[in-house]
Amino acid sequence: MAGMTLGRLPSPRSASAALPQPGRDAAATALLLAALAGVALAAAAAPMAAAGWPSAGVLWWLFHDVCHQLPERSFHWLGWPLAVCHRCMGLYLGFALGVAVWPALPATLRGLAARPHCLAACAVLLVVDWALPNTAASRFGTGLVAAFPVALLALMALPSTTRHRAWCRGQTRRQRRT
Amino acid sequence: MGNTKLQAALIAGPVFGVLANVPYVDIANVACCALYIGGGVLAGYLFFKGRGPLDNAYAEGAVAGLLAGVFGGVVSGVLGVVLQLLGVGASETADALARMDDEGYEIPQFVYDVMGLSPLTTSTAILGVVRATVLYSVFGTVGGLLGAAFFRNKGEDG
Repeated sequence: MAGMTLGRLPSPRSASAALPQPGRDAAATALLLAALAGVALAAAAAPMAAAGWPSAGVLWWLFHDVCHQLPERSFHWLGWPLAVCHRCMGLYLGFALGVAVWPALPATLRGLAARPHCLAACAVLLVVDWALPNTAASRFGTGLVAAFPVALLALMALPSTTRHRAWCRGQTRRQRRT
Repeated sequence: MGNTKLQAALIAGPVFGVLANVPYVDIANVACCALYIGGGVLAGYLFFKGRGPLDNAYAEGAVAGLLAGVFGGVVSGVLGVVLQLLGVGASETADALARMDDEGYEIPQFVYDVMGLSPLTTSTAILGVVRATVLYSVFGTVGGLLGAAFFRNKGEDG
C-alpha cells in the first residue's frame, strides 16, 4: 500500500513546507486544542483545590503516573501546587506553543524537517539541566525548549494522514467507476 | 519486510507496560514519561526496521506508537491493580502525600481515595486501567513520532 502511494503524493520534504495551520486546518486546530487542554488540566488542579472542589484530586491523580508532583518543584497558584512540576509544565506548554508557531516559520521548518534527528539536540539541554543543580526557571525553560520541536513532528504527521485518506477516497471512487 | 504496526505495538507496548510497574525502573517515568515515550519509540523502531521509504512515515510512526500505548496502558494498568491488591508500590505515593501534609497542605480524604491509598474498589481499579491506557496512548504517540524521526528509511527525503 505504502509503495503504491510513492510517486503519487508529495514527498515529506515538500509536505513539510505546507504544514497544516491551526485555525485553517481542522486536524491542526484539534491538535492545538488538545495540547492546550493538557496545559489547562494541569494548571486547573490548583484553583480547584483552593476552592475545595473534589475534582482537583482527580487531576492530581491523572498526572500522578507521569510526574513526581513534588510541591517544592512545582508552580503554585492560590497557594496550591499545580498537578505537574516545572519541567512537565514547560514540556506541555512547549508542545502547544510549537503547534501554534511552527506553521509560521516555513524557512526554519524546511531545514529541520529534512534532518529531524537534529531536533533531539533540543533535548540535550533538558538532560544537562536535570544532571546539574537547577532552578525553577531552568527546569521550565529546558522543558519548553525540548518539547517545542516535537510539535513539528506531530504537524508533519497530520498532512500525510489527510493526503493518504484523500488518496484512498480517490482510489475507491476510481474503482467504483471501473 | 518489517513488522506490521500491530506486531510492533504488541511487542513494544507490553514490554514497557511491565517495566512501568517494576520497582525502581518505574522511576524513569517521572523523567519526562520516559517509559511511556520509550514504548512508542521501540514500536517505531520495530515498524521501520527493514522497511523501505514511506510517504507518510510520521503518520505511520504515530499510529504504531498509539497502538503500543494502548497495549502498554492496558498491561500496565492491569498489572498496577494486581500489585495494588498485593500491597506493592503504594509507599511512594503515601510518602509524597505525607510530605505535602507535613508542609501544611490540608490533603482531603478524596485525594487519598483517588491516589489508590484507600482500599481498592472495582471503580478505582477500572479508572486506573483507563488512566494508564489514556496516558500511554498520548505519550506513546509522541514516542512513535520520535521513532519515525530517527528510524524511518530516509531513502526518499535524505
